[in-house]
Amino acid sequence: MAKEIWFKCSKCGKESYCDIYFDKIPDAEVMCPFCLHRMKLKEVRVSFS
Amino acid sequence: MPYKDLRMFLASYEKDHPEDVISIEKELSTIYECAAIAQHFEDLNKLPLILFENVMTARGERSKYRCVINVLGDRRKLAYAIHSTFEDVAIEWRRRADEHKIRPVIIPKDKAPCKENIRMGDKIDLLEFPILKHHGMDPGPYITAGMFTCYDPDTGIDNIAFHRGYVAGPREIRSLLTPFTHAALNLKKHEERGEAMRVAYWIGHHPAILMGAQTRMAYPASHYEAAGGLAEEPLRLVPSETLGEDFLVPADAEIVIEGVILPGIRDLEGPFGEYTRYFGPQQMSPIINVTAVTYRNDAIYHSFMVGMNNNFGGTQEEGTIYSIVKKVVPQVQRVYCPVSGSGRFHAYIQIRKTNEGQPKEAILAALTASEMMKHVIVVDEDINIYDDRWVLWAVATRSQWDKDIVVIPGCRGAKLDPSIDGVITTKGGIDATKPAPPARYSQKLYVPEEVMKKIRLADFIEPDKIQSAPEAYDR
Repeated sequence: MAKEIWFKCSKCGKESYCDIYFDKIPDAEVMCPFCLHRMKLKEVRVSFS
Repeated sequence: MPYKDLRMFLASYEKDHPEDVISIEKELSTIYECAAIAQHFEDLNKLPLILFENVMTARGERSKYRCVINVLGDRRKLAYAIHSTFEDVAIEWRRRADEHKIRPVIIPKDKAPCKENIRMGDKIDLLEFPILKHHGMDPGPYITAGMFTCYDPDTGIDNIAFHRGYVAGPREIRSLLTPFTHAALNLKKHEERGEAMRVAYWIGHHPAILMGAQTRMAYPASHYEAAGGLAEEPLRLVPSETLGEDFLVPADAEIVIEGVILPGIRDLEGPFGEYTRYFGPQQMSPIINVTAVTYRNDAIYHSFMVGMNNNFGGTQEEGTIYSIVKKVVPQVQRVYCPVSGSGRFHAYIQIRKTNEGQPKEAILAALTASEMMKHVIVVDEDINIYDDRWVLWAVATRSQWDKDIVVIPGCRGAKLDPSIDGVITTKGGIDATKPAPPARYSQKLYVPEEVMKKIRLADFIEPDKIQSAPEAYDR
């Protein structure tokens, strides 16, 4: 029932999340809400498994 | 003749309720600090109208403009705004929006207060306004009390609603238009034609106007007409500066932001502290390229404290639910959408039950009121629906879950509800009513009424002692 995809900023190290539909966006980018750094989701995704 | 605007409301409300208006002269930052003041008051379960007189912008500069909060976040103020009562405000809101729409009037630009100052091109700087950054995971300042206005390209009819707007730069706003909203539908129509959508945010107006404009309505239907209905006078509109003479904005708004959304372009927006009291996840949202900002002299910026203990959204839902339930269960007395359901997810329905089956019909009807309505509890008319304790007491003593529960899986749900799977939710309800007459039920406790009237606390105990006795913990 995951509603979000968590990611960890490669610049400031803080964690945040984006919508689950980002999985369907090819090569999706995300933005850290704390430092506004942009990065590839696949490179910073946090796995809980 | 004065027209209803935010300034008229502030002056009138402060005159009648000076105890509920607070002006803060000390300097506060738009970055969390104004929100911290609001949060402290919420922790006290108080919602005073607060004017921040000296606000530092996101750039660390003193804003030339004031910021006001809690204009809408309180049922009593909503009732005051439309000359109604705490109990009747939701039903009256719905009634005026449905039955007493008033067509707006168009006035010349040189008569419109919102045109006292006009900025275009690189003279536009949204960040000079005291736009607040509210919660810890918000990426920046957000417009929260901005009425997002666009037009249906097929009919030319206006559509208006609050949509959060991330101010990503001096001339850029990214606005969340959630699925199923009429603004999202208008954008889809424009994009299918390969056209840009003209939009405006207008900020700061009389709460009666905001209530009318925000009313949940059929599509397409003019929210400007509903705004006039709530205010009981025609809303004064004026042509935009950059979006054409047919794009109309409220002449008495404090601030108007005009812009265009180019088709197919999205950018990152969020997370944002939402009405659910959770951070809604980051989205790819449409971008408004701002083309003009017009504002009144000494403009007052209005911010809505999303996710705090307000019941604006709930009060709006109640009127819609009441009118839907009334059609199938005329015995409905009152409806309340408590803050314990974030104003959208729970509804308490009070009925004067005359036959078995009515509570379940009321549940089914109420669940269709919106995709957000999720849990409905139906109670008898002796239950105070404005107090969660007594509704839960009715559930405890008047329901058996093998026969009084309704569960409906596979319904459309609220995108921002963190518990749902995609956009599909399970809705349900509880019949917490006594059996219909002539059946009898255990008698609720009472002290004889004549004794309650005769024996008054103030006749036996000093008022100070009554006042200072601590409230029960379970309140």
